[in-house]
Amino acid sequence: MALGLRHWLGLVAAGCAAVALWALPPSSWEDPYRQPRLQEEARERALLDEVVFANAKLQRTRWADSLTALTLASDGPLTMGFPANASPAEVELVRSRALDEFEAVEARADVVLGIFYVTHRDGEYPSAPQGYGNSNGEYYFGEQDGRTYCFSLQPVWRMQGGRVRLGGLSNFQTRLGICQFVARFGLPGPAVADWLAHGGTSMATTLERSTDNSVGFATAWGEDFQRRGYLGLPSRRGYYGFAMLPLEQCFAGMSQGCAQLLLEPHRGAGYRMYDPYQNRGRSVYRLVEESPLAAVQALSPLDPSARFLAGDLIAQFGADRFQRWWTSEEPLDASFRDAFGVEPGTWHQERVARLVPVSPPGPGVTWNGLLGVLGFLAAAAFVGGGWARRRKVA
Amino acid sequence: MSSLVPRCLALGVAVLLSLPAPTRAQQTEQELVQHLDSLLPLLRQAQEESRAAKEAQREAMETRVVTEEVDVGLVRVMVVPGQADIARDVIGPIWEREYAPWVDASPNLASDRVFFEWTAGDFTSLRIISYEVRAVQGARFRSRAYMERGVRQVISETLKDDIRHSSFYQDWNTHGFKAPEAPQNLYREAFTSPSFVARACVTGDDRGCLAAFGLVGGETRLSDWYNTQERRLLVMRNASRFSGNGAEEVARCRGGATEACDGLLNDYWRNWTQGRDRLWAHPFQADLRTSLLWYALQQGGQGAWSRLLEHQSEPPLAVLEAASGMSGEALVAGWRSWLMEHRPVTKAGLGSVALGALFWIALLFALATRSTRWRLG
Repeated sequence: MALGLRHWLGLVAAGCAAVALWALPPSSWEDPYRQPRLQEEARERALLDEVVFANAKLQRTRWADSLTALTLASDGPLTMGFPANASPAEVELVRSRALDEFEAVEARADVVLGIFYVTHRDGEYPSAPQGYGNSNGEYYFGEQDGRTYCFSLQPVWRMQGGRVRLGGLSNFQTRLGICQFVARFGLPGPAVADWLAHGGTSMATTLERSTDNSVGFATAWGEDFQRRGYLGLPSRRGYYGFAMLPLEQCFAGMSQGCAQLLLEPHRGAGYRMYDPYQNRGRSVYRLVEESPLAAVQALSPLDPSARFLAGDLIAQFGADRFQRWWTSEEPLDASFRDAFGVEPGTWHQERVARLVPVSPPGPGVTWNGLLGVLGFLAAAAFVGGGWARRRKVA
Repeated sequence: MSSLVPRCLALGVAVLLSLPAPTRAQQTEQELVQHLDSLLPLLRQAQEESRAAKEAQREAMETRVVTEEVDVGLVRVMVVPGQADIARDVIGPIWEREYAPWVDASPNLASDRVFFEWTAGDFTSLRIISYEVRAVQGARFRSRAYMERGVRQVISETLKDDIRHSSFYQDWNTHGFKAPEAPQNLYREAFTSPSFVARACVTGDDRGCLAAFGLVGGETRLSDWYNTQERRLLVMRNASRFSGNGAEEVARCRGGATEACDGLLNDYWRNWTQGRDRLWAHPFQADLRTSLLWYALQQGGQGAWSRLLEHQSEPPLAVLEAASGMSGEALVAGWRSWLMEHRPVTKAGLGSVALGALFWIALLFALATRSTRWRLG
């Protein structure tokens, strides 16, 4: 008795279920290293978190108080500060690059800027543990005595022998970073300020527009960013290897994913790209909310092309319209639409498609393989055809 | 009426929750200092209490868990009752085949224990404070190969402890003492290393091999391993190591400025003098070194480990020669032959493809000719 199609489908489904049962670990299995901790340990950790956070706030408060005063008291429009024992050659290099950046900014007369390097332990409470030792740059901006100020701050480590290396400010960020925008367009409106605090700094690091070279630059993560190839084939040069839904959506041409990456970069990232403390149960956003810190330099999953996003907006729509968006009181998406006349997701999707190349497919099927398969198919067709011709129906 | 009360309460709570949280006011410096003044003594006390509680828990565990001890070769294995035979069955062949031929004595194998557990139930939490215990634990659904990997790992770690503080281990970094799992990958790594000494090595130059493994004495310069183009490639592949102000130099190097590449590498070489910090810049790195060390020990046979321990404070080449009982040139020549034996198959694998295609063709053919249900027309 021949089995009906329904039976075949049932057998296939049962087979799939059997494979799933065999392949999947039992759901009740628990990693032994994640078992509940002691009550005393839980209390210790809670107190430690509180102390670490208070220490971080104290540090930011002291940095903000002293360096804001220093920036405002300076005669010139740009103030720089370096720790003792910094290499004179490195200081000179930073100084000359910063001056180049400043000259390109065309800063407003009422804005003063600063660039400061501090060591990680400067300003902290003696003997208190530290947990917000950030290697990314930080930004502080605001208004005081009728003058607008903005300074970037780079914490650096003191090495053996007391030496200090002025690392940190890499090509992810320029030395002035978002202070270039403050210098040219004034303080950001509430929506843009919030955007900057939540990962937008990764997209406003330079006033320059993107070029073909700028997206092919070597980053900390390797060379030449590429997106997933045709038919969803994996990229040969991966973009960090972290799967993120909005990123995949945006690469696939869905504008909502691009909109989320543009307007809410910290959401859906699922990694410490935007929040360097996320993986330790701590949050830079809480620190921004409760301390004078305005924003931390974030790293975008679309780096390096994302670094030029704000510069591209200026180049494409003009400085006036950018300023309207930058200083708007409206929500971010509405002000973007008003200022630039396009949907944020659509614009970003087009930009990503243009700047982030598709990974070219790898080697395909060899001619031998292709001919072999065709040969087998042809042989089978001949055999099958011959069989069918000889077959007689009674 | 009575049902209105909970509804009103729920509505009230919902309204309260939907209200925006008030922004916390920023504390002044003085307030923060006072806050920390009060918190720090509490934290110190909590740390003391936590430490004491953890210690008490460890001691309680040690006395509560019933274990048996079995010796498998030189490995002292602890198991919970009923697991002794399983432990012997898994660990025994590994020891006999891979370690017994050359490990004759090891201080840490003699003093430490391996806790082995392959169970369908909960894992035993075991904390011993009087000696080191390394655990190999796996849920029952884990494969035998998984448990075997764990066994190799703990034996390797224990042997590593024998030499952990030696100049050999610290200067000539390896991944431990395990048989190479994928020699084909090592072959690829050796052949694709962007270094002229690596190429010389794989094409038969023993001195090239010694240089590529970092076994030639004296001050090392990167130009001894890499030509100009290769140094540029080295920088580009390791751009993340040159953060900060190096970024501009990386860009110049990428653009073809040789002096920028050399400046970055020389700067790094000057600032980072430890072997482990420099390993990435060596033509043959930890995986290949591990395979050479493994080969040397295999060749050394009985007593190889004791000889290695005796010479562990000497230069890496002397240690390897002592362990293997061979000269450096002979050792690397033998290793190269071993590597060549593991040349990966680079053909398209037509056999399996053909078999797969034939299988499907036969299946569809059979279905098409046997049953009207599957046949078109």
